[in-house]
Amino acid sequence: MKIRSKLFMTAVAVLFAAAPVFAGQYSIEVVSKGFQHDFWKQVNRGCTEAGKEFGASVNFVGPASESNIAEQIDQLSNAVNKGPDAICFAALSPESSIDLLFQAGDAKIPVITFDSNVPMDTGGAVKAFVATDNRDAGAGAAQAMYDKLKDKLTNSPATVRIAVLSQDTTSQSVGDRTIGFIEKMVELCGPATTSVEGHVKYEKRVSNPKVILDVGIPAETIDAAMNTVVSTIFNKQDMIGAYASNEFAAKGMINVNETLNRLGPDKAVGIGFDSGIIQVRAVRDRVLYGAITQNPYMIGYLSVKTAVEAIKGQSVKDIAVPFYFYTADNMDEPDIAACLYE
Amino acid sequence: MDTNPAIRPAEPGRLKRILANQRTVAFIALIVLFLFFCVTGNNFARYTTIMSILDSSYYIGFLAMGVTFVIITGGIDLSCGTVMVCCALISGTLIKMGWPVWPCLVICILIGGLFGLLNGFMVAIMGLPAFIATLGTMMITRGLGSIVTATASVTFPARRSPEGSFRIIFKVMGPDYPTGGLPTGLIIFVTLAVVMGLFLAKTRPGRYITALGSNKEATRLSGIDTVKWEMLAYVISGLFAGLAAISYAATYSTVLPGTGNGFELDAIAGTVIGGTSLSGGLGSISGTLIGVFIMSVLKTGLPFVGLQPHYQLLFTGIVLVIAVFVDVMNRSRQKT
Repeated sequence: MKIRSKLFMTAVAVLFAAAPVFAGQYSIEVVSKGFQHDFWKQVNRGCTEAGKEFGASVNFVGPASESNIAEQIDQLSNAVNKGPDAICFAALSPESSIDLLFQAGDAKIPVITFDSNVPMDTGGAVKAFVATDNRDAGAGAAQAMYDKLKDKLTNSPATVRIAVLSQDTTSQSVGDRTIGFIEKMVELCGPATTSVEGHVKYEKRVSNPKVILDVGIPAETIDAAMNTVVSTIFNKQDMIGAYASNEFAAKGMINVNETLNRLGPDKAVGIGFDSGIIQVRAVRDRVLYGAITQNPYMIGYLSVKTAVEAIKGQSVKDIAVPFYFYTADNMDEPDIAACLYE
Repeated sequence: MDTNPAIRPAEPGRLKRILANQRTVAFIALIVLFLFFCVTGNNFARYTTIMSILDSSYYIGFLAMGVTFVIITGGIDLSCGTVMVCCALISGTLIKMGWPVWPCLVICILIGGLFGLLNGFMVAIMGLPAFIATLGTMMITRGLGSIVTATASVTFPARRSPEGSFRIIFKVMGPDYPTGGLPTGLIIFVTLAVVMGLFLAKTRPGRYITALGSNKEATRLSGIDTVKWEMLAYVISGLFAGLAAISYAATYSTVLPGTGNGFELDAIAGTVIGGTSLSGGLGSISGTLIGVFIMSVLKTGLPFVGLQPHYQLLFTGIVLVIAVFVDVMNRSRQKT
């Protein structure tokens, strides 16, 4: 009896904890890729703001880490079952979510994908895709690095190495930024003399390369694993540049650099992606030459705005949210400063 | 008279009563929770929600069924989660290399069995503490999974591709079926649970495994081959981890190397909530299933009442502590 009453009290606690829920005209479930990165907090802020502005109650969820595909799929499954007016979804693994998107299509729930698309959805659930053009952004980073390193890349007698650091091989957005960077860099340096090495997914070796793109990807999205990957490449003496394709990878790059001290003016050129306190500070201190920033607030805002339009039956289309390349010299310009977060 | 809890199986009447008690409490808790979410959760009481609960229960359920055997011997299997992921990664890689799907699934289960054999060998023959032996296997399987896949994720064939037909083991979906699909996996799940439950409670090997956990020395002295039966418990846990791998792949499609840590604790928590004692000699498969479903009903239900998923951990923790507390109370009452 005693135990049962305890369980009952637990249940009552749930009920009370659940009481304050912001009510709006439309209900929108947002399934993001996480909470832990500042990036997602900004997306959340954008979603909430758009929700207030367009009369939608927004419920924002995401898995504890970007390796937790199963957790995100359970969350998406829940979101579909709740039968909201619309869903905004950033896929960790497009293949894993496809059955649920078909289910959403059957239930006539419009889905707006953001950050990472699910290209194989043929059931018509996905109405629009709101994101940075990640391939373009990756190419932008390659161009910036090439401009800075042109002399060393074209006139060096010895082989030079550029580190390409990436969080994982699963997510579409991170993959696009990596491939966008690699393709542009290969194009700029010359396909015949540029070798891509280090990871089977991207590997394209040439004999007698002048430039080596050394791809480093950890087995797991935890800081320690990323740091190990970065140290391995940073210990190679021919490295003249390093690119990290998201906040997590950039953090690893900066952390390792504190010990190995390979980046900075007159040293190797580091380029990051997104912001976060560690990265923003590294750019300001000129440890990193610069970084690409997306506009996460705008991604969240436009996702919910587009979702509301889709609910109303208006025709919606994909939105490419602009990105910027920021350095210590331009990071305080208002347009850019608004996208940076700590 | 007997102050040694290890001799408890000598009093079947009392033992049964306690077991029933703990399991009943867990079962009532499950029903109460489910009804609570049905009443308070908007749109919770739906066919598709039940399907979600099932989908997210299979793999933990299989892991928990297997690990129940190990825990009953008084051991522990920390490797079952990573063994599951490793099995999925190896068989997924084989499929990617063009091997036919169905034989790969059999291989998947067998690989699990092999790791179980390794655990059993280390514990029963080499005499390593189960905690350490299976911790070693946990690390080995995590590393092996990353090596086999070169750290790339493995995606199993999509439901709509011809090779994706293996997914009908767990769910049949399509225009002719209800939205959310038909839960074919439930048949396998329940059948296996009944078979393993009977095996544990009614057959000689099952009783030997239980006796091992009560008092290994006494069991050995009564002429039972303790090494053999202890190894069997680990092999069962391994085989079920292989089976869990198939259900995980069928539900979540993409498997990442380096993951799998933490699933073993979910499985152990489910087992313990269901009344299996961590000190061994006491437990049931039906209890384990109740424990697993309590966890997945919480996981699925909490977002419906507007709570973020991390509350699941909080409440599962509370349930776990209460469940074990019931166990402790019952035992101290029995002693006095």
